[in-house]
Amino acid sequence: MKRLLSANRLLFLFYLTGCFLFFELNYRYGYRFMEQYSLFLFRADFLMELLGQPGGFNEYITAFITQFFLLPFFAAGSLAVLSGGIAGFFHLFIRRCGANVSVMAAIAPVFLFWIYPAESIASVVAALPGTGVALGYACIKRPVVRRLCGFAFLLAAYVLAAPAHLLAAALIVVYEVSAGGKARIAAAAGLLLWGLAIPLLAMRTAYVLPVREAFLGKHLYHPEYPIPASFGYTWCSFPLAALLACTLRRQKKVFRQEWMNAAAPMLLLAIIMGGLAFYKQHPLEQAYRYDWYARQQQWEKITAHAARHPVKDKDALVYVNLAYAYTGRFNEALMRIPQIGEEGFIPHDPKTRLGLIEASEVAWLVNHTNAAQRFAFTGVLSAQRCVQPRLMKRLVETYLVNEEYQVAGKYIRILESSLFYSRWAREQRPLLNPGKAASTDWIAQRRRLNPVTDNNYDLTKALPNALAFLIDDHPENKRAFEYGMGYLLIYKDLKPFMHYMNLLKEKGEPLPVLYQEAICMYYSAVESNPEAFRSYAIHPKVYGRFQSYLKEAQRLSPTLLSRQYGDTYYYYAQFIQPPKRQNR
Amino acid sequence: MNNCTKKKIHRITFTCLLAAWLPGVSFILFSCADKPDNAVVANDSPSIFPDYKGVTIPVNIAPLNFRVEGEVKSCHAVFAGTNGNSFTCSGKNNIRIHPGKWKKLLADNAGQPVSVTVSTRPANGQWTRWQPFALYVSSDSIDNHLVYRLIEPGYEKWHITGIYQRNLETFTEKPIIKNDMTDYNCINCHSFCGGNPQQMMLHMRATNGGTYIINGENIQKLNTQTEQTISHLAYPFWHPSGKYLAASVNDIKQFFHSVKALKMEVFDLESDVVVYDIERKAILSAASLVTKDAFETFPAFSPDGKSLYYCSAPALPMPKQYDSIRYAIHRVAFNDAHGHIGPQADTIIRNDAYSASFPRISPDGRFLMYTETGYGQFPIWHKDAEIRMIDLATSRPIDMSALNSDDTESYHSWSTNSRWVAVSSRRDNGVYTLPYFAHIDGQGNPSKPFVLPQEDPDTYDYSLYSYNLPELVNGQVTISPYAIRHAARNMAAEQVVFR
Repeated sequence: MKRLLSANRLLFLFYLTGCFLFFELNYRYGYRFMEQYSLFLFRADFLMELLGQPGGFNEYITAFITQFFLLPFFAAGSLAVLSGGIAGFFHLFIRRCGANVSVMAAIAPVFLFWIYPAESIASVVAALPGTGVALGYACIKRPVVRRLCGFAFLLAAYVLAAPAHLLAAALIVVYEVSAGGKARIAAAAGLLLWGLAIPLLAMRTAYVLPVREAFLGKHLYHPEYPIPASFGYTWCSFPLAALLACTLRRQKKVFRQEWMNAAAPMLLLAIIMGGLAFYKQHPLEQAYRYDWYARQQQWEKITAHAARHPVKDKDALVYVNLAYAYTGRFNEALMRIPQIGEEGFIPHDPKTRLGLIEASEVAWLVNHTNAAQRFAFTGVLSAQRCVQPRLMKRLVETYLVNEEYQVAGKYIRILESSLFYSRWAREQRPLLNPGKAASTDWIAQRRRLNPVTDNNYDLTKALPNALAFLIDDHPENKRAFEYGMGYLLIYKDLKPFMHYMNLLKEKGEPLPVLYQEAICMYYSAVESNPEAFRSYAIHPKVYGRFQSYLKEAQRLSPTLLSRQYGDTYYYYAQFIQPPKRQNR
Repeated sequence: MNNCTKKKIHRITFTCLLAAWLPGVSFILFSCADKPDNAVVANDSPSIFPDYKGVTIPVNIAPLNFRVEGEVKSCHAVFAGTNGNSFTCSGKNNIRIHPGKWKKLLADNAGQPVSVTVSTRPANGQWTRWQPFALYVSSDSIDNHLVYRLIEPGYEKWHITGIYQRNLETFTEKPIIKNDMTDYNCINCHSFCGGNPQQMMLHMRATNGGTYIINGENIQKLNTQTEQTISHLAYPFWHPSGKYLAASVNDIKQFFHSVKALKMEVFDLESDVVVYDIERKAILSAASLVTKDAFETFPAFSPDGKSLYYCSAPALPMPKQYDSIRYAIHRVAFNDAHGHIGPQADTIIRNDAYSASFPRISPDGRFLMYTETGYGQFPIWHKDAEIRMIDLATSRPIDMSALNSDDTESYHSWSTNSRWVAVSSRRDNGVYTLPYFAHIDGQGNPSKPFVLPQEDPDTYDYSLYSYNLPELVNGQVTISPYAIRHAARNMAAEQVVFR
C-alpha cells in the first residue's frame, strides 16, 4: 500500500511537470491571446452580476485566473495546478468508490484537456468543483446525511459553477451504483434526476435563459457557436473511467502489482514525451505569437522570428508586413517574404477574432482612425464575453484622436477597474483634457494625418481605393503610401504605381530601391521613354544590377537566377504569378 | 471526532464569522455617524451624475440615486419636501435613497419642489455643504413601464440583444425576449398599440425570421414579404383600434464614413409605406403608399385613427446623394372602417432645409413630435439630430431647446397621458444611447430631461449597451419569454397577402 502511495505521488509529480511543459511549449501564446477575451474587474458589481447567472462564480474565477495569463508561465502553471487538482480529486474519489487504482486511472481523463484545448479555461475550472463535490459527497459516511448533502451540493454546484453539477451528479451515480443495493440505486437515481432538474427549475423560477445556458452556464463556450463534441468526450470520460475502475476492482488481477508499479511511470513518461515531441502546436500559434509581440509593440521580435521561421499562414503574414512597416523596412522586405496579395496586408471582410484585431491594427498603422475604431468595436462585440481589453485600449486611442473625450473616458474608467490595464488607463486619463491631448505628440501626429476627404471605401474590402484616399489627403502618410505601393507592385499595377512615382519625383523625395527596380522594369517592359526614365534618380548600383539581370536572365538556370535576383522586383514581375484579386 | 474537537471547530467557526462581520458592522455604524457638522458652505451646487439638478420628475418614478463627482470620501444628502417630510442619506461617493422614504416624499410633495442639499467630505478633509438644488415633482404620473432593446451600439454586428421592460417605479428589469433564446438572431422594432402592454409586435430577422404580433397570450408569426412589396414590414405603428399596423417596407443599406466627424450612414435604396390588416392578414393596397418617385417611411397613425402621418422624400440616387435627401412629414386621411387612405396628402413639416423622421402624435392629439436632422431618415448617428415639436392646432413650432443637447436626440415615445416623453439621447458620451424623460406641460413646453434612474449610479459607466427604441407602456408585458421563444422556434410563419 505504502509503495503504491509513493508511486502515485511520483506519477502525480511527473504528470504535473509534463502538463506544465506541454502547455508552455505548445500553447504559450495561445493562452496569452486568450487573456484578451476576458476582463476581470475589481468591482463588487462585477461579482454580483456574475453571481446572478448559473455558473457565475465559475466564470468569476475563470476571469480572475485568465487575467494573469499575461505573465510568463502562469497559464501553463495554472493549467497544471487545475488539472492536477482535478486528477487528485478524481483519484481520491475513485478510491472512495473502493477501487484501489493507480493515479494513472485518474489522470487518463484529464489528458483529454490536453487533446482538446478550448477557447477558455472555463470548462477546466468547472471540472474542479465537479470532481470536488463528488469527492465531498463520497466522504460523508452516514447515508442519510450524505444523500441530503448530495441534494444541497448539487444545487450549490449548479448555482456557483454550472455545469459542475452535471459532472458531480454523474460521479455520484457511479459511487452509489458501484456499491450496489436497492436503496443506493434509488438514491443515485434521485440525485441524477435532481441534477438534471435543477436547470429546468431554475429556468422557470430564478432565471430567463435558453436551455443550453441553463444547463451549462453562459460562458463555458462561445454562446453563439455549437458546443464542441470535445466537451462531451472530456466530461463523460470521468464517470466512465470511474465506472471502469469500479468494475475492474472485482476482477482477478491479470498483472502483478509490482509490474504495474514499474510500468505506470514509464507509460506516463512515454505519453508526456510523446505529447511534447509529436503533438502539433495550435495551427495559429505563430500568429498568436506575433499578436503577442504586436501587443507589446515588439515589432523587431516579429521580423526576427519571421527571418528564422517560414510564415505559416495569412494571419502571421499580416503581422509580419505590419512589423516591417513599423520598423521602416516594408519596401526592403516586400520581395523577400512570399506575398499572397491583399489578404497578406489586411484580412478580407474580417469576422474572426484575430482578423478583426489585425484589421484594426492595419487601419491604425495607415492612420485610418475611423476604420481602426470600427474594427476594434466589432472585435469587442465578437468576443465571447463582449469585452476585449486590448481593443478597448484601441477604442480609447481612436476616440482621443477623434476628440470624443466622453466615450474615451467611459472605456478608461472600465479599464481602470482591471489589474493589468489600470496603469495604462490611468496614464490616458489626463488626455481627456482637450488641451493636453492636442499637445501630446502621438495624438497631434495622428490628427494631422486623419482623413479629410470622406469616402465609403472599406479598408478590408477595397484596400487600394481606401488607401488612395488616404494618400491623396496626406501624401506624407508614409505607411499608407507604402502599403498602397506594395499593393500595386504585388498585383503588377505599374501604371497607377508610376502615377505615384511622378508625385514622389516632383517632391524630390529619394526613391527606395524597390521603387527604383519597379521603375526600371516599367521603362524596360511597359513604356519605352528614355527621357522620362532618366528623370528618375535611379541609383547606378540599382540600374547596374538591372542591366546584368537583363543580360543573365536567358543564360542562368532558374535556380541560380532566383538565388541571384529573387529579391528584386523585376524578377518578381517576370517570374512570379500575381495573386488572385479579391472579388469586389 | 470527539466532543472537544467539535467544540474547538465551533469556536473557530464562530470567531471567523465574527471577524468577517465585524468590519461590515462597524463600517455601517461609523458611516451613519459621519455627519456633516461644521461644514463649509460652497457657493455652487454639487457636481452629480446623473445630472438630476432642476429636473421635473413624475410622482411615481423610482429613486433618483446619484453619484457625487470629484474627490469624495463621504457624502450626505438631505431631501426636504415643500410640504414637509424630509430624510437624509449618506454614502461613500454616492447617494442611494431608501425606496419607501422616496415614495412617501414624492407622494407628499406632488406638484411641489423637493430640495436636495448635498454635503461632501474628501479624505481627511472638512465637510463642504453645497448649494441645494430642486427636484420638481409633477403630479402627472408617467406610464409605469419602459420597453427598450438593449444592444451594443455597434456597426454591422449584433451579439447579445434583447427586448427588456423596466418598471419605472422600481429598479426591476425583466426580459421580454432575448436573442440568446432565439439562436442569436436580430430582434427589433418592438411596438405597442397605444401603450397597451398586452398588444405588441416585434420582428425577428435571419433565423426564426418573421413578424410577431402578440395579443395577450396569443402570438401570430407572419411572413410579411410579398411579391408586391420591397421587403418585410419594417418600422411599424399600430392603429389605435388595434386592427391595423402601418409599416414601412425598405431596402436598407449602410456604409461607413472615413472622416472623424461622421461614423456611419443608414439609408434606403427605396421605401414605401403600407398598411397591414391584422384580422384579414393582408397588406391593403388601398391604404398603402407605394410610389417609385418618392421614398416613404416611418408611418404613424393619429390617436383618433383618422389620419396617417409618414415621412417622404423625393427618390434620389443612393448612396450618391445620401446627404441631399430630406424627408418631409405628410398626413393623409385614413378610413379605418374600410381600410383605405384619402387621395390627397397634406405636408405638415416641410423638408426645405432639414429632414424629419419619427413623427409621433401626442395621445391627446395636440402635438406632433419628430426628429430633425440635416439629411436622411436615420438620425441616430447624426450629432445634429434634435427633437422638434409643433402644436397641431396652430402649426406653431414649440421651443424644445430645454429637451435637446449638443449630441444626438433621436427616437421618442409619449406617455399615454401626453405629459411625458421618453427620448433616446447620446448626450452622455456620444456613442451609447440612453433613455431620458421630459415633462411636457399643457402648452407643450418641455422640462429639463433626466436619465432613466438606476439603483447603482455607476451602472451607465460600465454598461456597454445602448437603450434602443424606448417605448413607454402602461403596465407590465406579461407574455412569457419562453412563449415567444416557442413561437419563434416551432411556429411556421403565416404568409400575408397583398390585396
